[in-house]
Amino acid sequence: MTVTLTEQGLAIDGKHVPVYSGSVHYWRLERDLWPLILERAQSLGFGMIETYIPWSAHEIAPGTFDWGSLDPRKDIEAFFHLCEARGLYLLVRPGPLINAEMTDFGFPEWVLLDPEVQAHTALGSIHLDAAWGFHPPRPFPVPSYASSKFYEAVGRWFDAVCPLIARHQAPHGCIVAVQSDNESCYMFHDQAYATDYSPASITAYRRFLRERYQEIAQLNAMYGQLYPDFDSVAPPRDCQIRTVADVPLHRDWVEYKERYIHNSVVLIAQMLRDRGIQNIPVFHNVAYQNTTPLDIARMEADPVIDWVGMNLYRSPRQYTGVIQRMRYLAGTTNLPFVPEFMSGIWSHHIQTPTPAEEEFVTLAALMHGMRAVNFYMLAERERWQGSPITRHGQYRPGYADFYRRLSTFLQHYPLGTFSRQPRVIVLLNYDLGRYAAMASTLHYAHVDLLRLPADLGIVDLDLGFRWDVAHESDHHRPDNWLGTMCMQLKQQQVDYDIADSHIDLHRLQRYAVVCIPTVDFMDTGDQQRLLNYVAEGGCLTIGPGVPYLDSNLQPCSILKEVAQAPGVTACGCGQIVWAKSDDLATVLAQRLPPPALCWDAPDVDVVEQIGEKRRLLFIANPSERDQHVTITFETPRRLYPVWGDSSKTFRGPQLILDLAPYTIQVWEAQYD
Amino acid sequence: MIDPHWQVIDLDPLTWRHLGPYLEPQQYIAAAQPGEHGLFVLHDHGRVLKVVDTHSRTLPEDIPAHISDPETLARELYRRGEWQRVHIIDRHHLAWVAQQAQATHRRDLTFDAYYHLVYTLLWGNREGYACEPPPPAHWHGWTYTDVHHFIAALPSPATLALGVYSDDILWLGLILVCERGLIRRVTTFEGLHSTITNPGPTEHTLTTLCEALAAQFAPPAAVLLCTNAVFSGWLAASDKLAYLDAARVEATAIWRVVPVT
Repeated sequence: MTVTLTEQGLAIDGKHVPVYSGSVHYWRLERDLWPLILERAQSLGFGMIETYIPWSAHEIAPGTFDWGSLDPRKDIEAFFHLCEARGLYLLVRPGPLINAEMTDFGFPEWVLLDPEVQAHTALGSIHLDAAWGFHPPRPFPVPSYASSKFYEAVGRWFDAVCPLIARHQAPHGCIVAVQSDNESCYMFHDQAYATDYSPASITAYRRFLRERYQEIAQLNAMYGQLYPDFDSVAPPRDCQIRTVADVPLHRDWVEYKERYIHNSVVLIAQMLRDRGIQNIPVFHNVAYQNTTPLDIARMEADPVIDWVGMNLYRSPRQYTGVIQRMRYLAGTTNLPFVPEFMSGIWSHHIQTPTPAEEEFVTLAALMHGMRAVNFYMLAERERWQGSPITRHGQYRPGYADFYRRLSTFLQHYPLGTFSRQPRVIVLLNYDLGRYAAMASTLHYAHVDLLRLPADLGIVDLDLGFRWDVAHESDHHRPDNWLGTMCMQLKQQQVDYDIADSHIDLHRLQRYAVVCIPTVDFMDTGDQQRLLNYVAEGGCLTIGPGVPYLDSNLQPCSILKEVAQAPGVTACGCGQIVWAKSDDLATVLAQRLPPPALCWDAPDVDVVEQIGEKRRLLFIANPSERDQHVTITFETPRRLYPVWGDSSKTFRGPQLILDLAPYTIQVWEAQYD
Repeated sequence: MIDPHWQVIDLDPLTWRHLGPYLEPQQYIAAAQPGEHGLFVLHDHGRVLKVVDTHSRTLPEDIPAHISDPETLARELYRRGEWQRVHIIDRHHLAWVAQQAQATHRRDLTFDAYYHLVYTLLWGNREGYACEPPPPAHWHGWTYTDVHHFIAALPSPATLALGVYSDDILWLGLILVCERGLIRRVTTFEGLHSTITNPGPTEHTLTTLCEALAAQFAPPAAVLLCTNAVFSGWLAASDKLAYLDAARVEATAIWRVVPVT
């Protein structure tokens, strides 16, 4: 490939190019205004643009395409040429799913209305996109990504659009990466028993079982059943777990749904590759899910997918959510990338961001590890507001000012060239996520409209476990082992990354300490990988329990053989610490060196990023109150304010600051 | 009401931020209110599956294992005064609502009509979802049918506009362009070609705005200009016309409505 992924962005014909991009939807803008809008984008500091290429906008009838002959706004090659003439790089996203607040999410109507294409719910009805979330202006039938008829139609669309993309691949053309599908995950209705129960999907599910078990006898042994063949196995349509024996059937369905998404994204990527997209990376964007049915680590490990990012639409009050997502990207992916970073918002969103809010969230993401970004949208269009450029090509006051300042900042401190260096990684236990998925209910359409408490959808199971698996399986609880660990890290002012238990050994070895909640069961491969990490010198902290079963609840003692009782156990060159929640404060304090800096305001957050020759100090006040903070350095620093209210330079062992609510200051640090 | 291909363009971010809270769909369908102390009992044709108290882990011990009369139980539990609302929900009812709503493509239904169908299915069977107190069945006094009839009765084409001011600074400026009972375009005062000088709920602003709407989109059928306080009070008022009449006397609201034939 002439364009490759690096830890800092893209290498295009050997030249480093940061992924600092913004979205411009050519087909929604007056053709005459394209040059002005692209000029405005460049003036704001953007050298890269992103656009969808919407299927329904171009294939106006089956087999009939408009590339500008009827509507000049659809002349995509003219748009490519314009980008090339201006020296702009381009990310393209040809779908097939795009959303983009388009009616029918960019799918042609005749594709959606084909019964062989439609996904089905567990209740036997078709699956409408309106089943979950709020997507005006018209409900549409969700396509089944198991349907061969669907892929035939996608193939015809790709046959038409890929030659256009292929002709404009870098380095000779402007296109530097292509996205495979978009936020692929059951159209947000991602619960285990929501969908897809279409005939095509059930056939794929049975194929999955056949590949897993080979012989029906093996499946019967696992399930405790007497199915005559694989075609007799019916998927669970709700949580019907009564005993341990019921678990494998449900767990296989949950895992099939992971495979469904993975295979879809890979297949679509391969279809792009097969049609000439050979020289540039193929990436995928995840909407928000970092647990089943998404498996980002494994998706990025697939050779057909070069790169996976996660989108981010958050307000300052959701600071914790912002930084946890960045930590997850930093811990999981090769280039922490936000393919859709809130710049403005869709018209049916309940809170249009202000420029100050966009600034805060953007800096929070940079502070915690974002190294590549596409601002969605750079130019407004129908059904979108609050971007720096209006659809008429005017700068929007306040919003444009922020991006000007950001681009200037990133010219001095290039994106991707500074990095956090956490010594700790917290792993989400993927099998606990699967448990939470299979032990849940009420996955019906529109339940999200009823403001029901989340606990109502959790099925209380008594499977004889030693530890409180349901309690530990909620990744968002503050009072379980994972929540306590994260709280302790925050209190001890320890920066950390996040990944899940599918992380590979090579990546694990970057960290001195690995923490993961463990209960009665865990995948054998995951257990062995953690043990290998310990054997080679790592410190593994687990709790509240230690697994003695595998993910099918069969006996498995990989970790149990080593960690036989709570406390510290040496193993190879490393150690396993089996700790209760109450002991985590002590465990961490004993195993981590004193931090290079500390601060006295618990609501303030401070992160230092290290570059080749310089350091940046990010200081955030993510609270709604003014904060007075004293930051103490291990060795005296010289500091220059580079973002925020402060204007004086500082020299010494302590920095004293007053921070307004929801603001972030950035200082360049030098050592005396 | 909502055209499947409506244009929603030129949205000034400040107007849209202020409009945002009204875009949350739950407020038009759910009985539970944000922050409300609720008791939820989920059952399966009467067999209790789960009880959740939103504010406490201690659950009432006297919920029967089998519910024969959900409405009576909801009323009895609510009468204790321990919860602001009691919900007795048959999961089969939720499944039935989902199944009915998604039975066909529903391409014939506009977006609002689809959600109204969901609302009707959900609350049409009080045995399936018994709730005490029950959902209000209107939004600040307006029902879906009221709004539907209002839009359907407008001349075609026609514009509707709402201008809300805070200290004579535009706080919310919304324009809808309707045709044959469908909202075809949604925009804000930013979408007007002409600038309105001396803004506020005045006759001058009203006249200028109506002329601009007629020149650019369609004749105005109803335009309301008011202060922020009047807008909030109008939403809450039970007699909305009387409330606006009083505001007009105080020069905090002014409107123009074309009589509907």
